[in-house]
Amino acid sequence: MGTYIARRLLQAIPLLLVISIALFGLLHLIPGGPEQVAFSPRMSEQARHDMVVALGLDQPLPIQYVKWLWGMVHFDFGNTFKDGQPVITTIGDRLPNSLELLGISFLVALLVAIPLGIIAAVKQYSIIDYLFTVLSYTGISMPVFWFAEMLVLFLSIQHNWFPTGDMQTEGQPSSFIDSVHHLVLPVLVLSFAFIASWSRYLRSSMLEVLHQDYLRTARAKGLRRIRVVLKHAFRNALIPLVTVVALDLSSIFGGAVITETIFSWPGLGRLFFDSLESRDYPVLMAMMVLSAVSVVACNIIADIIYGFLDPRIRYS
Amino acid sequence: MKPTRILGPLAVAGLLVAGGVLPMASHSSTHAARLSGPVKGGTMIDGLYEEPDRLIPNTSSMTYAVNVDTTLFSPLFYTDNKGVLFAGLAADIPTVANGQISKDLKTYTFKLRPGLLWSDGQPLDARDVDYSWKTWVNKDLIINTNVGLAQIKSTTVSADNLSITFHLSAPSISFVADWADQYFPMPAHILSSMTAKQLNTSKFTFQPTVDSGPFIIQSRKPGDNITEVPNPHYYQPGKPYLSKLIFRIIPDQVAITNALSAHEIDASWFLDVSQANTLEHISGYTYVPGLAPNVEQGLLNLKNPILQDVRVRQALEYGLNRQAMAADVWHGAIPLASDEMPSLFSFDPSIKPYPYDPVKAGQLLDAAGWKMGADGRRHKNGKTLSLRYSTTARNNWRAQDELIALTDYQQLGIDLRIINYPADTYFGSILPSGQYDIGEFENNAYYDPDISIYNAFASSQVPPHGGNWGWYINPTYDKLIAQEESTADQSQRKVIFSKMQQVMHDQLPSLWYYDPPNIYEYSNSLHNYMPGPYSGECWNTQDWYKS
Repeated sequence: MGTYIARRLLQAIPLLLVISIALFGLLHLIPGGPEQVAFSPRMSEQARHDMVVALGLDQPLPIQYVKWLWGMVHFDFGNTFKDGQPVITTIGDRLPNSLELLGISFLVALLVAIPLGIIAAVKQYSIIDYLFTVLSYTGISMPVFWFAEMLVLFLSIQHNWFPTGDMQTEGQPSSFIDSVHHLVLPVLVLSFAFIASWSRYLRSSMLEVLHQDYLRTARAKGLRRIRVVLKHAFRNALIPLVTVVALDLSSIFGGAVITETIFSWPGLGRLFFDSLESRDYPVLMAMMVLSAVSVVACNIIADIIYGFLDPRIRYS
Repeated sequence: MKPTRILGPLAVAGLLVAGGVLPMASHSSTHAARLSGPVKGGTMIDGLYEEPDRLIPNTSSMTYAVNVDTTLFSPLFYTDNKGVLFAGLAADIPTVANGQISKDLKTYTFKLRPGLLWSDGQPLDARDVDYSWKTWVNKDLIINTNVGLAQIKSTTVSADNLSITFHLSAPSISFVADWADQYFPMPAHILSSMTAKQLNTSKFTFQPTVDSGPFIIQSRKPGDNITEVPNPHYYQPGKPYLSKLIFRIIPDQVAITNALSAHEIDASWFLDVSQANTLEHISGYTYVPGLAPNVEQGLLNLKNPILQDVRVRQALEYGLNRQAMAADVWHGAIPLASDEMPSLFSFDPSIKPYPYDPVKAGQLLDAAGWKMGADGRRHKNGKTLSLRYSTTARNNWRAQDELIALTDYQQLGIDLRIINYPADTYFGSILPSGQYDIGEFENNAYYDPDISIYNAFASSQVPPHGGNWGWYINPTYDKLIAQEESTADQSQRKVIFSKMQQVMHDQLPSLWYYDPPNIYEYSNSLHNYMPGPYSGECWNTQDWYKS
């Protein structure tokens, strides 16, 4: 297993290098650089040129890329064009906020999606299953922005039960209860979409497993039904879900721009969107590479989990 | 010490005010009379639509960064909610009469109030002003603008450090106006140890630690909020009244409306008119479509041969139902534009906006040789009358303007192709490079109309040299600009501006739509909240208080 992990990590290096080159090229294909979009329209052409030189944007693209790569290898992602602060600080300020929001949303989604998926599979074609199907498709197809706005309208504005956004109440000392109060609505929005999709995946894979002969044998041996479902069926049905959850987990580093915007949550999604609008290349490159690293890492983690879930899977 | 004002009669008698736009306050109680009785203490939460980037003065072009800067740094001169000019850190407003402006308009002396202090207790004087302008003209510093600074040849600071004299390379009518509301002096004792490049990436640019405004930053949480507390050394004794001022970052207009509806914030400025139906009915709040020196225009790209014919330009103006834009899009009566904003002193009310007259528009196009074809489109010499209409994307009310334009021009036989862009790309790339035919955007005037609205059509400002993005070249108009810039006599300037306004009206280098207001909303428990047309939302945060 150790050799496998080491091999996967080594393979990831050239992969990430190719990804970074592709991302750098794609970024510079976007019309208008920061000297055109971020700088004041009232700047003279000379002043604009001076800024281009000051930011190193006058250099050929391969030189810019090599300089960026050299910095990244030394964990120096440069400074943002927007406010001149270190990129690593800018991302570091937002990362805990995204981890909090998305991490809790994932946890809630898992805690709800797993029992739902199991129950729907065991009670296939029952009223519970049909109800669950309707809710799942509603969750999958409902636009996030609409659901979020409806929650704000009914629960925040009309009834004043929850705040409209932000992480804490402004002007008051921070508290755990206040933080949780502010988390309820955005977590509800994000987790709803995950619950809908994950529970469907689990239901499908459970249905495949539930009809297997070895489960019939286990029942025939006298094992209780719940033990058969949870210990034998669920474990084998988990592998497809692990794949999906691992890929979704990597999106933490991309944030959730719509939810963060509606709820004024200062996360990585909003940072990425704002940086894209202002062509803040250092921030964009750092975030895209971080996303790529997280996707690779989550896939490796998923592979490792497969090995634990299914002893037949062995890595050499 | 109250802000110093110039007596009204003196101003009217022809007192030369470099860049003076509107008459100044007549007596010292007028400004105070606008304020109601204050209450000390309280926290005010302001909803900001965009997060400020750089907070070192004049290093950001973001409106919201300038707003926050106004709470942190005091200007030498400022304008109030009526556009009246006052002296801030300066002891008085320079004029020829008081000897602080030379008759040739090439020497300006700014006198500072004695005893000014930075928030850390260090003296604030003319040396800081001298340091500031020299830093802003350093090519290594990222700045918003250097208007007015580029013509400074040299400066002299007095022996007592209380005044600074600027020697200009050419006469300037607007040098004082250039400094009003934007060039806030910076703390030389803190920043002079850094090079301009180091300033660009300093912690100070993100969170200034020493300032001269009514507030200082207590904390800043990126993407979330900026929390400010009173500056103990603010130059106006007894102020500010608030014990805490919090800017909450809310990057969505609907979310701002939600926060106002839920009474989570006390005020927000520069709101979207598409939210007006909700904003107007929030209980306990006041909705204001505020006075603003703005004009919504459809700039015409005169590099396109089709638009070089003035009859075509006039047809476009006659054929566009701008009244519908003002009434339907902006929920009521806002003035139609006649190229100049009514708030400017130079405005000539005798020059009327074009009426909506599609019949006349059609006649003008016929006279210009554009005949209606069987396909419902106009043609001339085998060419179809086709124009690109562009504006900023993701803007609800401009999208509605475009629908009106599309309908009206289709009826005239004009093929209109709508291509929109993100605001940054539109202003940064599309307009300056002429990749449009009709470009809609909002232009803003400054304290002196010369600074933006008229200079935007000077032939010297054709790209890449400036913002004449329509490539309008008219030697007669250029001569009028030169005449208006060479005299400090306001009455004479007004006559010349009237002629320029007539040229803009007759020649139509741009279509003139309407004068959009700056919409804001505030809680009825918040007092003295009165955004200014030139100075923005936060010009008087020292006077805000909550009941």
